[in-house]
Amino acid sequence: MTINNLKELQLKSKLGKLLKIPVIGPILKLMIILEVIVLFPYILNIFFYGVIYPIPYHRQMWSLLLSTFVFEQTLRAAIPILLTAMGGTFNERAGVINIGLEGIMLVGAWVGVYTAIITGDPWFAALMAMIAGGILGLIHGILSITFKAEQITVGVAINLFALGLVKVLSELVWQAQYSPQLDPEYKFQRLYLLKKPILGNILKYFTFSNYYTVPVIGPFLMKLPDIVTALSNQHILILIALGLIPILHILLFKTSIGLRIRVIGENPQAAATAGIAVKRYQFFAVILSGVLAGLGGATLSIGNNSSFKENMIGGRGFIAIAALIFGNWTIIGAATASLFFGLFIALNINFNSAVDHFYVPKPFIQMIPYLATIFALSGFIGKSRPPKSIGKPYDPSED
Amino acid sequence: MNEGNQAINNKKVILSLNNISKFFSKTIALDDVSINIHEGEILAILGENGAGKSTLMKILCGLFKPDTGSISINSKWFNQGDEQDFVDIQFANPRESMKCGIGMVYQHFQLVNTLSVKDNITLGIEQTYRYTPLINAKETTRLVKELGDMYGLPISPNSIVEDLPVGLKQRVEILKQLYRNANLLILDEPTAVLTPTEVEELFKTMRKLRDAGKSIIFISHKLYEPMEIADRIIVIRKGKVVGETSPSQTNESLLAEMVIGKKILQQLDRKKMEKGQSILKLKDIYVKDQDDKEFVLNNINMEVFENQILGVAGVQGNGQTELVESIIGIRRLSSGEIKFTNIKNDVIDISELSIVERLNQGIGYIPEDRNSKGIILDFRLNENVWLAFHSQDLSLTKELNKLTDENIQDQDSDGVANPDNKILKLVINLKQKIILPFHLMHRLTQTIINNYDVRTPSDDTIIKNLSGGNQQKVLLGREFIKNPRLIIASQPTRGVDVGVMEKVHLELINRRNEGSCIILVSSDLDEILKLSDYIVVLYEGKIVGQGSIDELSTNDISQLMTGGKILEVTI
Amino acid sequence: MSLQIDLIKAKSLKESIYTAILSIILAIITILVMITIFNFYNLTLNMDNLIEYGVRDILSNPENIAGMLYWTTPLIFSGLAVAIAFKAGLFNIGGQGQMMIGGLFSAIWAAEIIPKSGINFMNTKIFLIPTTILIGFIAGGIWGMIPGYLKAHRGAHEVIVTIMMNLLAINVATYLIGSNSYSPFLDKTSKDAHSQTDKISPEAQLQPLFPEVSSRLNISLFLGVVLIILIYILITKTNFGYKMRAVGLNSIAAESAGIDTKKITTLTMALSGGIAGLGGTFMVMGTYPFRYQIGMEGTLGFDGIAVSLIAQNSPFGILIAALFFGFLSQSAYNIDIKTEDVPPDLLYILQALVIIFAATPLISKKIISQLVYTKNFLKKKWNQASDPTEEKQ
Repeated sequence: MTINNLKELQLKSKLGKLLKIPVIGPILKLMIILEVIVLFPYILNIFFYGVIYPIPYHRQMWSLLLSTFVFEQTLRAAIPILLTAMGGTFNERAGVINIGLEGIMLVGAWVGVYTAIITGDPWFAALMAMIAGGILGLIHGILSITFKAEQITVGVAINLFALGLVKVLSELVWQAQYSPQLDPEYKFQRLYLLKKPILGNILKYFTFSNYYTVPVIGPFLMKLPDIVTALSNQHILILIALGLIPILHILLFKTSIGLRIRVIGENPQAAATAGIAVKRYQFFAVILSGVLAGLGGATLSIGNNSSFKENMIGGRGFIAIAALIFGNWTIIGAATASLFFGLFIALNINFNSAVDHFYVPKPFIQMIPYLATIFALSGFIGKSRPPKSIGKPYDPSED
Repeated sequence: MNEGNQAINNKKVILSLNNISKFFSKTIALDDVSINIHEGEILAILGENGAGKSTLMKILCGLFKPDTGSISINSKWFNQGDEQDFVDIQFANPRESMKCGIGMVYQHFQLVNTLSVKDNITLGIEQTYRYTPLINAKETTRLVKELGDMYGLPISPNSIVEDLPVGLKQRVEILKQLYRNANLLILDEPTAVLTPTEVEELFKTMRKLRDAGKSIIFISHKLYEPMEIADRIIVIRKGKVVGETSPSQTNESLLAEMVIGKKILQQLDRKKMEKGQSILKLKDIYVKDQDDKEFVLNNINMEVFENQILGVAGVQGNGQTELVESIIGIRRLSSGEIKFTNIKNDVIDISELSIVERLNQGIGYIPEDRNSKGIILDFRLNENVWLAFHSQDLSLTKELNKLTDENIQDQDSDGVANPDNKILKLVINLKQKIILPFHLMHRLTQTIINNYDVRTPSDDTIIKNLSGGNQQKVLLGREFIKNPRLIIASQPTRGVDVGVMEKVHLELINRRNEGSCIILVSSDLDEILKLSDYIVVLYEGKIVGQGSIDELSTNDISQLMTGGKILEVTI
Repeated sequence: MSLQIDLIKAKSLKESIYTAILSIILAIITILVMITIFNFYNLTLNMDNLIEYGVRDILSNPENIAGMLYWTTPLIFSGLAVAIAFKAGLFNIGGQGQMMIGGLFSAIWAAEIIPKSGINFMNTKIFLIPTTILIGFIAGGIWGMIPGYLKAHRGAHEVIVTIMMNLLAINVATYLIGSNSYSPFLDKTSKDAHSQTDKISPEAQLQPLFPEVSSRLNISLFLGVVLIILIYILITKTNFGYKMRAVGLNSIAAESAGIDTKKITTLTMALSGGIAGLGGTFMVMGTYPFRYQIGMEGTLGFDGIAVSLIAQNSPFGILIAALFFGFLSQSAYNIDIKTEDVPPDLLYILQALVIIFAATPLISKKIISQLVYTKNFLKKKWNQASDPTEEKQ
């Protein structure tokens, strides 16, 4: 082994060790990922413009990625995907593939808007969206669990069914393929918590911008996204969704329900011999994923926007599936991957103007998350390990 | 009630299987079996594969219902009531037997590899905080550790099952049952996957459990194990109890006789043949398993000759499948080489060739699991036959045409036309490469149907509509008709009736007489003894003994198969 | 994939026809139930108009028949693509993207590259039509081969990869023709153009067969039928088709018999993608506006899955299923333009319901066995009633 190789090896193992330290590790990982996100367009830019000075480019890209504005937009874009992806994690962990999430989101979005218009109560609208999603999840369950139909086909059918249903209902109710605009009071509005009387003052202490003038730390904080500000400008569903992350994580990994679900997806026979009612838990998982996807759709229509348009889901349901796979079938992973996808949706703003001499066309940037998913699935980025018994209907007679 | 049947050493009977019989469509799996189980004893149930041991255990743990007979238990001992009397009991499903305190440790572990030990053990009866589904991890860890320590089976609760060696995985399975308060443990072939050291550990465990008052049923096909560990031994053969004894009253040789029974060899007209040239030579073969962790074949050296049937004897799971797969090319060698003398009499190292390349050198392959590896159930007969020929260079068409019966009429033939016109020749060549040669397929199949007496409406029938025996005939036929140099036949008569079996044996002998060389892998010792000229015994991936049919006695072989003896390896 | 195998196994022809018809009947019944529910809530649907414009008008009016065939054509290609992948045991959900890529690249070829190349002999029917078709096939083929290769060699599940490829196709199309600021092939003839190519050269346009009746019926329908026949021959009579079926039915046995399952998987997906690509290509070449527009393939990729499923993956069944769906599409279109009070999108729901019933043969089987049981039960009762001396069972 030459000296160079040896040094390389030492570096790699040091890096490996560093990555495992609790707090610094994930942050380091994040920085590496962001750096890759920054480098890839740089290379692309060479084709479209040429080699540009790396340092100003990095400075501009990093400040863009870490800007509060982009962070805010990322959260907004990510949450609908995040909710659906977390739900999807549950049903896949239980061994059921649900590619009908796109359709469920669509129905959730529609039901949310319709209920909001009729009742004027966004909370009730969100509830109805969740119920609608749950019903679709139940249908999926009946077809794939009870009747043992091919799960992928059922998913495709649900997507088409949802598409048709939503079109028909829109025609009947609004005589158009889109809804009227919602009155601001009828939807989930931005909270602007910092502007609230007492709460605002308390929160201000936690914002980074409060400390900009402090020596040494101040300038450093200016470079980071102001998390508290970003959060306080969102509508409440976003905050609820973020709050759901630890709850769902605990549900899946720290409760008996979650344990049984995970076992069912890996080895349903082992679960059955341990006395667990396999199908019951599978139904629970698939209904839960329907509920969350319905909520995700509603977040989009009555949270992020104020109306329903027929194409509004635009593939987010499928992206959610990609996110949960990318996240290796864990809640935290799905959430992180959703943020990643949300980042790219947010970057739709023209950052050709934010960065000098940057002429990479938007579609190339948008491709990055899809390519990343394909890479992950092909095993190029670590091992992709789905639940072992996924997609197979459980047949007790085969014991 | 078999209470008259002595309480051995003053231990009382806690469970009785009374006159249990079980039938499956055509076979009698269990025939009037009666067994008593005593408190605090290790009972070994010994028998060959297919003797009925697992069926019996499945009845005991509630997976099957007996067709005749009953199970009765001492309800107090099983905590099902206060009476000391025997009560008839029926298990509708495994859960009920579990509640009763019968814990079954399956041969194939029911574990979730990605989860921790404590999760696997407590699955289904998790320790949660009161009124919530939240798992109390600390309490779970503590309980599992305590359980392990209590029975002298220490285990680390937070280890991931995947990372554990097989012996510890088994310990987890045992603890799973103990966690559920099992008092009667059934271990189904527990030593099949263990190293010798791990086996010792297991035996220690079993003694500890017995001394703690549990009863253990230990199922095995290896002779020396019951001798070492059991208090009592019951031998089952072909669904019947043929003997009950204890280690002090018997030895391995007597056991072997009970297990396998006296053999009356039906002497086939097998004339003594001088072995011809070497056809296949395996040198220093080592093969690792799928995960590339352990060796499944160790230091295999063997040679097979023309005019010879080499029988590979051994209990299923000792490396036979891996051996066959390595020769065919389904498995890669870790090291070693395979030299093959092909139809043209060239000696080639085939270890680097692909499967189809090896087969085309002149190897016929009859895989052991016909339905998953050999035939495609939803294909027609002729399509299945074609599987053996699809890759042939079609200049062999002439050869193939010769193989088929002259008597079969068809309108056109795809005989090789020999036009002078070059373009026409090219077109015909192309056609042969692209289009399936239906007439040839038909002729080949019809020949096989005739020669092997396959009962089928036509050669177009979908093969799954044929009986198992006829399916096997087709499989054999298509391999034999190639006139291969080497035939590898793995469990060729499994699942066929006696008539078909006779035919198959006859055909194999014929082939051998005509110059083929055959490797016969079978867990049916009868078959091996009947057909082989030379026998090699595989045990735990090694050749533990070999010799010609005259040199090895039946008893030798049975002991070798079950790990009893190791002979000097003679070549 | 237990029931998936059910679908590609050799089924008795009778059984598959029964299942297909029963699925359609059940779907229609469900739709009628839904319509009744809607009517109940005063969201009225006029049933008479539905039948008048949705059924009668279609079958009687030649222009409508032509329209029906117009919808049928891409469905044939889309359905064939899915069916051929199923035969090898693969799920091709990427028909959307493959059609898009096929249509896009063939349009670019015929609208930009050749006309602007200045080489005159290339801009002729005899050269342009075959090459355009070929480009569409190859482009779609590449788009299908990628997931096939990844599945064969890296074990990547083709369902998710093809879904990603669908999304990637949109990005590719957006880049090439989506925006003024960067798209090299965007329609330059008008300032407000977006998301479309130039018109393809007139030499590449397929002429309508019966211009007096309709401008929408061209040779591509018959090419589709020819393709069905070719695919049928491929699957049943060629070596490649044989290997494909072997891999689809039992890949382990195929592997043991020496079939190169990896190569078969890759090639089958490539062929599947190519066929889907042809669907998109013919849409561009065959009808006004004779250019590729992003989104013009609608949901045809997914509809192909429905078509293939109902046809039980048999090539000739696909023709019938495609005609049925073509009928439904034209019906929806006709309803849309001719009457106000029937929502045309019931079509989508009907499609979805048909898929559901066809994909769940157990439901159909259960219903059939229930009906048979009831029939036998009633028969018995009838016999007992008319002959009281008969012994009670």
